[in-house]
Order: sequence, then structure tokens, then C-alpha cells
Amino acid sequence: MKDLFYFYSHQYPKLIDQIGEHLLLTALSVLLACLMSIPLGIWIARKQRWSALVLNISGILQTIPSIALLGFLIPILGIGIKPAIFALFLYSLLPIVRNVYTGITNIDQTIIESAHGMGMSPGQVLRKVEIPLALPTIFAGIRTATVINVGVATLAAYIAAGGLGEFIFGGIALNNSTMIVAGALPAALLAILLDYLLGLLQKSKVAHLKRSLSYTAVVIALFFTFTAFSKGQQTKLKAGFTPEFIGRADGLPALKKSYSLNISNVVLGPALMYKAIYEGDVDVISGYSTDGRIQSYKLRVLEDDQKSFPPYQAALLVRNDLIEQYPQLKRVINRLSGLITDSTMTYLNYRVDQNKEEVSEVARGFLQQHSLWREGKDHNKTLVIGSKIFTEQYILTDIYKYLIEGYTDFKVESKKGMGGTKICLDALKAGEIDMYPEYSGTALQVILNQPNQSDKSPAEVFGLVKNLLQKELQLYFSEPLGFNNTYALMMRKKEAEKLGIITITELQQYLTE
Amino acid sequence: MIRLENIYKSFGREEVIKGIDLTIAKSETVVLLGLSGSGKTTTLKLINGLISPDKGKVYFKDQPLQSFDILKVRQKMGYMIQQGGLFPHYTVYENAALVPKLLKWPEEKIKTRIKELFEKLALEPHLFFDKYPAQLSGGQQQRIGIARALAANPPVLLMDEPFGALDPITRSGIRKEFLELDELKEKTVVMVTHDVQEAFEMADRIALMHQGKIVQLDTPQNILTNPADSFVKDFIINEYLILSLKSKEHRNKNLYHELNELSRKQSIDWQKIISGLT
Repeated sequence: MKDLFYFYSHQYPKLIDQIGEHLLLTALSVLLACLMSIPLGIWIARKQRWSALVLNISGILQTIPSIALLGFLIPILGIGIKPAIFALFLYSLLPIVRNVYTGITNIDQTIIESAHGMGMSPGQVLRKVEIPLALPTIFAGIRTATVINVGVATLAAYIAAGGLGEFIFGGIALNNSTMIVAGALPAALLAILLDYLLGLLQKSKVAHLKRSLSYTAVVIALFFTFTAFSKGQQTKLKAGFTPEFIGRADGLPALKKSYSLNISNVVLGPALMYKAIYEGDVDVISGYSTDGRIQSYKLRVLEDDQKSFPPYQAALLVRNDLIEQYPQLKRVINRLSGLITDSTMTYLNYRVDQNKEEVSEVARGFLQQHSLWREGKDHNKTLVIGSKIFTEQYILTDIYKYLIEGYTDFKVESKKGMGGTKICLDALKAGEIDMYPEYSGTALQVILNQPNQSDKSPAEVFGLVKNLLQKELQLYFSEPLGFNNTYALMMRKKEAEKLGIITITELQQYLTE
Repeated sequence: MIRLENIYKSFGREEVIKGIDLTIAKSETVVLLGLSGSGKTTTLKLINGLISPDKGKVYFKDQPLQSFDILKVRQKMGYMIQQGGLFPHYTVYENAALVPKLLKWPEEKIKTRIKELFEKLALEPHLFFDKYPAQLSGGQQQRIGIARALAANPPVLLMDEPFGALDPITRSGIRKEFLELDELKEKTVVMVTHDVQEAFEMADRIALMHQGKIVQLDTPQNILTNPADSFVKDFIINEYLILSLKSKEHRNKNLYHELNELSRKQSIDWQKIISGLT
């Protein structure tokens, strides 16, 4: 609790911004959804044979995973507030359309009939009878949509649209619970508050409704003007960074220190930033040096000439008790020691990301190439291996899985795609998983909270990490796999060539020219 | 006032009206009587254009219905359905004032009119105006329904089972009130019911309907004395005595004489039956 107050006292301007952005995203998307869904709902209440089709389509929209939807939208709407609002708009359609439809079709038909019978025009019947009587149901739909959208809007942080997701995903990436709560708590309160306000609105008379609608419109308009003015000076190139990169000491803060780099940046999700730079929405991103998409999206990795990024040597992080109980496991795991070089890993990633080969096939192929492939034997025990949510981790997980199954009597279950370092670590501590691939630099700073050891060699850093993990967390860190997946700044190859930028220093110089 | 000419109407594959001719004179009360599914409600809705015929024509004041603005016609035909069809989100006053408001009467005129009507219907304006329909009993709702249908003083009144949802005692009470309303004297009334007694009590003429056709259109008296066919006979036979007592024409006449007259025509010896009972 004390941590939270401390966090807020330092971050409150950011908090206010994020709440504002979050509110704007939610309100605007629900408003747009209302404009579309209410007429649509009324229409399908009249034309019953269209109702199934319309409700099914809006139902299907609802089932598209939010991250995937945002990904689809980048080539069309770019990044920022537009695709975020559009995605939220799509998610609001179903609850509103369905409730308008249900509200209107459930009205006692004798009431409608007597309204017509007394000579009310169809418009009058709609305005004076059907809508007022369906209003409680319609409002329930709008409230549902609003609460859903407050939740989904956190994902807007992944496409540079801001909102409270910035704290939440930053916190997850940085293993910082205070930061997660700092974002999640106001989001939850916002959901409750908006629901309550809509409840009040519902109880007020229709005449008041019109007035409050115009108030809302004014507030939104004001907010737009405000945000339009509050945007600072833009640099020549625009960067898209992950929440993790922005927050971590060895990420953007380190770059600022070593290069005095000043570049206007937006927050992007790790899964979406490659697409965003490819589409030209941003010009610089923070990627990983072994990422297969560097090849497929034709990017150039800028040389870290000041050695700002610490080494990130990959190895397997395993619960100690497991190693003590089954010492042979340690030998099996370390058979991979030094086998995967930077270029090997980049190529494996490329095969999956670009050539769309199956992860399991790529993993098996790698083991066969190194004569480490063996058919699994009889299994009587089970191990669980976890992975973070990107291709390289998926491949490593499968390589370890087949290796362990081939050389021991363990059956290996894999839990792939866990949201970040914090989630993996917590799962490991809780015994949900037994092992997952980790990187020395990440372990040093995110797990062990140690300062960046830029004066030490990669091997020294690795040794330090290994010892600390063993001592403080009773975790075994295997021998390094060989490659170094460090942070890297990248640009589109074409543009980098045109501007003659090879190193980060040159990028900094170009920006300050 | 109203004329239906050779009307046919189907809903989907089911033909519900199979050739109806019906002329209703000014100030006349015609009751459409029949079992459910006989087509009586459909016939009523044909009159105010809620349903349009597949074949045949509907006339209002000797002009085809299509030649009018249908909304204007409906505003001239008070419309009332079971339980009044009151709007639950309107107060009693707002409900009653609906049609005058549609006709854009000045607010003062509306208020005076509704007050006057409420007094005639034994509803105290200050007790009821601000209530909502859900706060009223079935009988009270029914009266408000009547008030709403009569509010703009329409020349025609269309009623679909207006007393249908009430218990028998409330029902006959309201029916009595209704019959005594001087407002109704000049009005052309078309009413749908399945209640034989109600029909005989209220009708100048009864249109007895069966399977989408009018089987007999006649005064209650004539239906009793000269039933057109065995269906009509079956329809009225069980309540013959009560019906003959209730029908409008009989109400003020000498009961004994009437029974004699009837028994002679139907060759039933009522005297014998009555003396046998006493």
C-alpha cells in the first residue's frame, strides 16, 4: 500500500494522462457503437429474418482475440487511438445490438398494437413507446459494453493508444506488482464508476438524457482539444517501444544515459511492433537481436557502439529441488550448452516466423542435425516447461522437451506463451511449471533487481547471475546455450541506408541535426 | 359509416377471412361474435387499416380507406383492446390524453375534456391523473382504456374484447356503466367478443362469425328466433333463456309475454316448464 502511494506520488501526471486516455477510448468507442447498434438493433427487430445473421456476425467479432484484432487493424488504420477505438467499437456491438433487439421484441405486442390503433405514426410508436419501454434493456447492454471496454482498453497500450494498460503491462514486464496494481486499480474503479454513472443516467428522465448526452459530447470535444495541444515537440523519427523496454533500467533509460538519445516514442506491444514499423507507423523499434522477423520485415539492427545493452545469454532456469532429486536431468539439459549461436537462433526464428514452419518440426530438425534426437522412451514422470510469449521461447521449449523426453523417462508438458518474466517466475515459484528459458540480463535486473553491470564481461555477468539465483531463489541456471538475445534498436533497412545510419550514435546525431 | 366488401385475407398459408361483406350504419352498435380463430379480431383490424385485405375493399364514409391518411382515420376511431393496452410508462392522464395530443389540441382543452370524461366514468381526476397503470386494478385500467378511446370524441369506436380480462362481477358492472354513457349514443361501435351474453346485451346487430365467414348478421331478436343454421342454433341454445332476457330489445318489455311469444315460435311450451318448476 505504501509502495502504491509512493508510486502515485511520483507518477501522478502520467496516471492522470492514462485515466484520461482510458476514459476517452472507452467513452468514444461505446458512443460510436451506440450510434451504430441502436439503429441496427431496431432494424433487426423489424426484419426478424435478418436478426440471426446480424447477431451471429457481431458474435463472431466478439470472439476475435483482441491482440489478433489489433494486429489485423495495423495495416489498415495504423497504430494509436484509431485502431484501438475501432477494435473496442467492434467489441461493443454485440451487447448493445442484442439488448436493443431483445428489449424491443419483448415489449407486450398489445401495447404496440394499441399505439398503432390510436393513430400514432411508426416514428411516434418508436420514439414514444418502443424505445422508452426497451430503455432499461438497452441501457443494460450499454453498461455491459462499457465495463467490457474498460477491460479491453488496457490492451490499447500495445498499439500506442495509451491508457492504464501502460502501467499494467509495464508492471508485468518489469516484475513490479506495485505498477500492475497502479494500473489495474484505477481501471477497476473506472469500470465501477462508469457503470454507476450510466445507472444514474438510466434513471433520469428522457428529457435529461438529451441534456446529459450533449454534456458528454462537450467533455469529449474538450478532451480532444486538450490532448491535441498537450502533445509535445516531435522528433524527426518516431519510435515504438515495448512497455518493458521503456521501463527497464537496461532499456531506454540506459540508451538515454549512454547516447543522450532523445526520440519521441509511443508504447507498442511486442507482438505488434514489427508490423507497425513495417507499415511505416513508426521508424525505430526496440526488438530482440535474434528475432526472425528482422529478416522477414527487412529491418536493420543498429550497432550498439557504446555497449549500452547488457548481455542476454540464454539458458534454462530450473527449480533446484528437481535438479537435486534427478542429477541426470542436469547432464541432459547441459548437452545443449554452447550449441546455439546467434545466427543459428536467428535462423530458427526466421524459419518459424517467415517460412511458417511448425515450431515442433524446427525443434526436431535442430536436434537431428546435432545427433541429439531420440524417440521418447516409456514415461512415468511428468515435467512442465514454460515459455514467454515469443517465437524463440517456443522453439527453445520444444527443443528442451524433445531432448528431455529422449534422454530421460520424463514426459514433458509445455505451457507456452506466458505473458512475461514476472508471470513465468511466479509460476516457477508456485510449482506450476518446473523450468523455462531465461536470459542472464533479464534475470539480473528483473528477477534479482541488480544494477546493470556494464563493466563486466558477458561471462562474468552470467556467473554472477547463476550464483545469485542459486543463493537467493534456489533456482538452477543451466550452462549458457551460446547465443545472446539482447535488446536492439532497429530501423527499416531502406530508410537506414538512405539516411546512412548504422550505429545508435549515428541515429542520435541524425535526430539532433 | 363503415363498409367491408368481399374481403379475403390470409396469413401465410392460412386463410383467415373468406369473403366478408358487412355494412355498419352510423350510430349503430355491431358485435362481432365468434369462437377464437373465427376471424373476428382480423375483421376489426381491417376497419382501421391495421391489417389490409388481400382482396376486397374497406370503405369509411363511402370512401375507400386507402384514399385517406390512415393515421387520421385511426385518430377518428377510438381503439380499445383487452386490458386497455395502456402504456405502462405513461401516467393515467398521459394515457388518456394521447389522441388529443396527437391531434394537437391545446393543453387546456385536453385537461377539461379528460376531467369531464373521468367524472362520467366515476374516476376522480385528482386521485388518478398521476398514477401509473400498474398501480390500478383491472377494472380501473379498463375504465382508463375507455376514457382513452373516447378522449378525442371520435365518431367510431372499435373494441376488441374490451371486458375480456375482468372477473364476471367487475365485468358486468363496467359493461353497465358503459351502456349508460351518453357519449355513446351517437357513436358507431364495433365490438369483438366471444361472450354470447355480452353480445346480446350490447348489440344492435350481431355478426356471428365462424371459420372466416359471417354466418348470420341480424338483430339479437332475430338470431334467437330465426337462427340461420344449426351452427347458430348450437351457439345460442345453451343460454337461450338468459339471452332472450338480456337482449336490448327485450329489456324493457313484458317478460312473460315475450316468453310466450318465443315459445310459440320455437314450439317450446315455456308455460309448462315454468309451472312445472313452481
